[in-house]
Amino acid sequence: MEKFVDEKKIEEIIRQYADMIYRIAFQNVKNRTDAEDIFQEVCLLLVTKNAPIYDPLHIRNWLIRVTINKCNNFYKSFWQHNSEPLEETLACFQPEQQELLSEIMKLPKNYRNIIYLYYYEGYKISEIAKMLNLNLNTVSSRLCRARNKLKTILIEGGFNDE
Amino acid sequence: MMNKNLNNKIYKNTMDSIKISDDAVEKAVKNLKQPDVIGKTIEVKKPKYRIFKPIGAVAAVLALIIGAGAIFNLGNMPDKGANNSFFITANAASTDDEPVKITNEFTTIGTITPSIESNASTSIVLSSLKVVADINFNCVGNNVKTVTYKVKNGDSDGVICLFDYNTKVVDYGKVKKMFQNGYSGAMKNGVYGRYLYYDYATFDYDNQLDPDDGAQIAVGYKPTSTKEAIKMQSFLNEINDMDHKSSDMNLKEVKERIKEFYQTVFRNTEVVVTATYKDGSTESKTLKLGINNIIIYDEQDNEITNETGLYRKYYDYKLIMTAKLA
Repeated sequence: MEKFVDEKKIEEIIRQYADMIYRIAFQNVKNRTDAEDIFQEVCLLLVTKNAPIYDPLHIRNWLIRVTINKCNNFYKSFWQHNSEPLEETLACFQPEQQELLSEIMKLPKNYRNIIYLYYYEGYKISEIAKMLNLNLNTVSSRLCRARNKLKTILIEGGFNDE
Repeated sequence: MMNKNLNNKIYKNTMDSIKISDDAVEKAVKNLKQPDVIGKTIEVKKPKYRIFKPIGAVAAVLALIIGAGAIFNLGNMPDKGANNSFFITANAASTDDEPVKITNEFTTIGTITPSIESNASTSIVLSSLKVVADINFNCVGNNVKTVTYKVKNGDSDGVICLFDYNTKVVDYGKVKKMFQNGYSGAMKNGVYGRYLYYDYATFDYDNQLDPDDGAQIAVGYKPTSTKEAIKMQSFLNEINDMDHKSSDMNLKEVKERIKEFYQTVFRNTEVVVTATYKDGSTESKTLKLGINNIIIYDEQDNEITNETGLYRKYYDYKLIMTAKLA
């Protein structure tokens, strides 16, 4: 088997999925610098691991799974205790977005990932369960609780007003 | 006016605003071209054209036939020559649990994590305690046009509970009074309502729910006496205490109490499945649910709690559920 790195293909994937990887990382670690570090690590894994780069369907799932795993490892690290406060992290966003993001970040991490994958990335519950190696029932329950919490946040925060 | 689309839009817009800097992307691309990164390369498979081999194709077709037989459980299919017949399969809404045919004997249908919908803080709420069990039902039969599911729970309520997205019911009964609070309000506004609680729900035989849609049942529980209410309340408190893992918990006793709690909740639960055949005739079968065992396991959050500075540890549990024809 030939040793081969398709730099062009990997660059294309990095550009295509950069925001997605960063969004997941940011939601998990709540910090721009750490999220960027995780993004760099995930990009490196595209080269060093046997990523399914020629399979458009699987590469997205692979990137999500790897990013979440990286975030989980991040939480085990001592250095995360020294991370930037959330208020400073959110300072670069618009005031309304700051407020909502601040509330979203209060959701448990497992809920944030599931609600993001369901609502933003459009995955089905079964796909999320498979991707996160969780029981389908667990995903359903967490999604239900996350939805209700998010709903309360939106109502109480007055985000529903047109 | 609040609506689901608006909420989704707000959420999506907010998420859209999280963008990585161009510098970070360029840095990643630049790193990609560093020789030391390339040095870490392992074998990356490039797709290759394969030569079509007739023997391989025959083997593949055979494997497909055998695989299809296994998946669709052809050995258990009703006799094609027979008229108007059906049986029920059930499985926990899990990717791992295969549907099993329900017979006259209690058969394990899977491992579920039930949801308890109650404030669970006072004995009063026991009058509105609801338990949702994610169990998928499926009808396999001959000449079946539609399948109707209805849940009975003795003097209390039971409903067929469907995910509000991807729902494909052709007919349904009204939402029962007990389930009108909370979720039905959310459902009415079309906002983040998880469940649709139907008195009964009918599906096209050819368009039955698949596990992705999460056909579930919800059971309302009402205590038969004050004594029972107090007992169930203490069980419920114990279940909630599992969230605050303590070393002095006697897991064997906790397990027994959880089992008793769910056995009480499901004691009168029956699912009536009615098949309407193409000739207009109907046939009903009733399933009874049971609890076989409880699995208690350790869980740990990935986030450190503010109070202790440690990862929050807690116990969680699953029910091994069974079903049989009544």
